[in-house]
Amino acid sequence: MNDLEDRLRHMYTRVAESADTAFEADTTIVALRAFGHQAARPAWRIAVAAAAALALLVGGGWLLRQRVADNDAASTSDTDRIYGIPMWVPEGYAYQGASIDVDGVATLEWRRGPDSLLVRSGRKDDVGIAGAMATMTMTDAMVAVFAPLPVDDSLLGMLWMVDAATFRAVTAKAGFVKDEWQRWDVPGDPIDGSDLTITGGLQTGMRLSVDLGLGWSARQGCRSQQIGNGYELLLMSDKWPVDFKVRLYDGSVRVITGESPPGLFGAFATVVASNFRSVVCREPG
Amino acid sequence: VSIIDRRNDEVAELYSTQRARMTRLAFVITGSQLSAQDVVHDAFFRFARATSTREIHEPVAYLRTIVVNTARTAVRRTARPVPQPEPAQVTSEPEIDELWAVVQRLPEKYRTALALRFYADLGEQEMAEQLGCRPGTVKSLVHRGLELLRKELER
Repeated sequence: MNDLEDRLRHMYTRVAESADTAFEADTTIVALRAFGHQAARPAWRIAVAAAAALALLVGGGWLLRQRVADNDAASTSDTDRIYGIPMWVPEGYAYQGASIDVDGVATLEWRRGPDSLLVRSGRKDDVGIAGAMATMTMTDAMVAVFAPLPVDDSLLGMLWMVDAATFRAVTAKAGFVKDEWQRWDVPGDPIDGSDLTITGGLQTGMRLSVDLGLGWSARQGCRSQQIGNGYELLLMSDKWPVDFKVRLYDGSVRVITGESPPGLFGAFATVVASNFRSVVCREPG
Repeated sequence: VSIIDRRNDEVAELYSTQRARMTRLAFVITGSQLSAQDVVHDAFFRFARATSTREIHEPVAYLRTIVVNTARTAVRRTARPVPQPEPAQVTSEPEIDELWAVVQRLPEKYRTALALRFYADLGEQEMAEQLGCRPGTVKSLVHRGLELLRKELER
């Protein structure tokens, strides 16, 4: 193995040297064409190039500072939910790992053979993040797929948005460890055992479920599920915000405003509804 | 001299002293000169932005992290789903070119680990910080990378 290591070291040194030669050669060719003689790089040209590089950096830095300043009022903090964790595991893909780079952009990666699926968050100062959080929908810029997987609304809608601390906690779990990450009380009439929980891991998939054993997934539309003694209902919608318009057999109608679990898009509510007849989801306003 | 001016001076100095070094590092990870130059250009702008908002205590290490991450992203973007073309001759030594070609065909994570270990000469702890993983994972990546390489060469 040592021989191979030595060969690698030698190879990298030679390859890097060749890269230097190539970069220098490019520069020289440009200079020769521009000036028509063999004085490859006059000192004044180097000075101009250095000044231009500095100006670019200073100018770029100034513009970026301006942007940061402009965004100060709307800027997000470390506690904001800007990182998306998928509530699914891509079929046949193995979880590879997660990272947050120096710009605060998070990446989750799964692979299947040569194919790779990357889910990337935006930057902290991205306008798109604010928009995504306001509407609880994602823009396609946030998911990069290098694999034959459809990137549609159903995939994007299954992201659980978390803050940096939660992202790190979830992605720090190695292997097939599962954990309970969030517990949330469904709003509406008080019904025992209607907590929603998010459990799971990135290898096995995250799962949103109700204490009573009900699962939930996006793209099932507006629906209700009998719980408890059968007269209690869990109302669900994969849209948000949503009002549930519950119609009873006696003709009365009750409107209940659904709420969204933190970081997920979708609305939930519970209702004690004897003689339940139907439920309609409607967007407020 | 204001803080902003001082930071710009630091960025400019870093640019003049580290550009070539970082370009070589990006090149041995990406295998493409064009891509390496893009990576380093992007990395300096990101570095400049970072310095405008906070103090960077170890600028070279910080810059290297940006370069490595950006290069890795570049490899992933270009390598899939289109198969990587056969790497061109980079030196006049067939033995080195052959080894380089095999290294270029390794999965990105092994290629990066081998470059950081045998080109950048980083220790396990430093590599772990660069790659955002544990030292044990680094050890395994290097070991597995060498193993894959040896198998390929024995074919």
